[in-house]
Amino acid sequence: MTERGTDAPPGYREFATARASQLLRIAFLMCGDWHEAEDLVQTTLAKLFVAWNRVQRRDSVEAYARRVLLNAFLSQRRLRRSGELPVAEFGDAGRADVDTDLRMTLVAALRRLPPRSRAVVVLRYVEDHSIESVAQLMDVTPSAVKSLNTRGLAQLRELLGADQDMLRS
Amino acid sequence: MSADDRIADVFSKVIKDLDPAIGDIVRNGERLGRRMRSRRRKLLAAGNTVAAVAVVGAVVGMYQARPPGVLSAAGAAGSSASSGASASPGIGHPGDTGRPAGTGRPSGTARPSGTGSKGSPQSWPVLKPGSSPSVSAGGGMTRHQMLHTLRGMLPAGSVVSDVRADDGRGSLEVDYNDGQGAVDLMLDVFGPGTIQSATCPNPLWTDEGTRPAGALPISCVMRTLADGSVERDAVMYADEFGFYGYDIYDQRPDGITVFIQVGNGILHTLPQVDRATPPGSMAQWEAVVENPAWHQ
Repeated sequence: MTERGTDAPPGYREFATARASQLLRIAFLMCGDWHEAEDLVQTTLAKLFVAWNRVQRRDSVEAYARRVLLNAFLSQRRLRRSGELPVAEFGDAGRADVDTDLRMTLVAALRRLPPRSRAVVVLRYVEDHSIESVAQLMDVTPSAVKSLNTRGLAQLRELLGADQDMLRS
Repeated sequence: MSADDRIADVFSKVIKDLDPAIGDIVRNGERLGRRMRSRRRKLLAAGNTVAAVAVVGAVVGMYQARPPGVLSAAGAAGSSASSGASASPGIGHPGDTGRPAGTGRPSGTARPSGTGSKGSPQSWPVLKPGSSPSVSAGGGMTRHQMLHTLRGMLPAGSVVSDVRADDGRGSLEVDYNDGQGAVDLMLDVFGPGTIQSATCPNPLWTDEGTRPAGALPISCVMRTLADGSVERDAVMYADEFGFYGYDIYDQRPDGITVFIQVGNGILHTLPQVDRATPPGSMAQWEAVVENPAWHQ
């Protein structure tokens, strides 16, 4: 791969290598499809590569990466919202000894939430972002995030039905 | 343990053992980034204003879809009304095309490509084959090429702005304003085998949020055109912001699929959904995706 021979901006590869796994987990929970999650993260890293020097000077790289990922996800959702594009597939990244039933149930329920609610729930509970932080990332008001969060969780409980105990245990 | 903590705990369990191999993703991300940067530099070096605007995604890149001329967007409205379409021209209504929602033109009765259907305002220009700049079809078109091609199909006086810099070849996302409020417009040209065939679900979608008063009803029609293309023409469900729009796939015999989505507001930044209906009529946007310019 000849392009690897050329230099990346200082710090970029270290950041990408250190943060790609977590970005991938977030992307997977948001989109529910392993391959799509990989595409989202590649796109995020590519945009980060292009903007690296500027972002480093002016913004939080972490926040920028999440914002790009979020925008890419929401943009994809709008494109795929009619559901005719490739369906969810679980990659083999998860180890066999994890509770795959739990993961599949939760991911399946998440996939049925509206994209923005899904994004809020994932950012809040996986990444532990505050309401204000999510609002900043999504360019919406904190009250909108609260509303999306409340509705998302309520919907999630409803979708999980008998499985909703997992949210209580 | 609070409810929030319990939920966070479940998510933590779900993802803790996901241990993906990220080497390829990091390498591919960097490679893709290099290509994006290289294209950007070339375009900027070319000094092409439109291309540069597309690359930087600048709002300042607003320009008219066609040179100011015979008709403005308002003029397009008048033309539309006089051609027997909606009394509120430029805005799609079920009656615009003379057919009720949920029905379509009979199979195999497609209009000639690029000519618009019954009720299509004459002010929507017809882009003749070969009039687009050295386009490589099948998803290989650059944003610049797509933008140029699209502009030629839009009514005079309408404005395209905020060209998103994020999309790769074959993909264009812009704000489109026909004079009655900006909306998201997404256009994709997929190469053969890139996406699955679009179909209409049964039952149809249901709204996630409140559909604006006066909105078009949800509909989905599959049509086979005279050239063998299969087209899915849909008016989508409203999301939680009341955002919906036209959603049209034209799947051609050459394997290329042209897709367009025209919303009733802006969603990519602060949601601003202030129109009851998307701009234009279904027939007008059908004419856009059916135009052979996307295949040359």
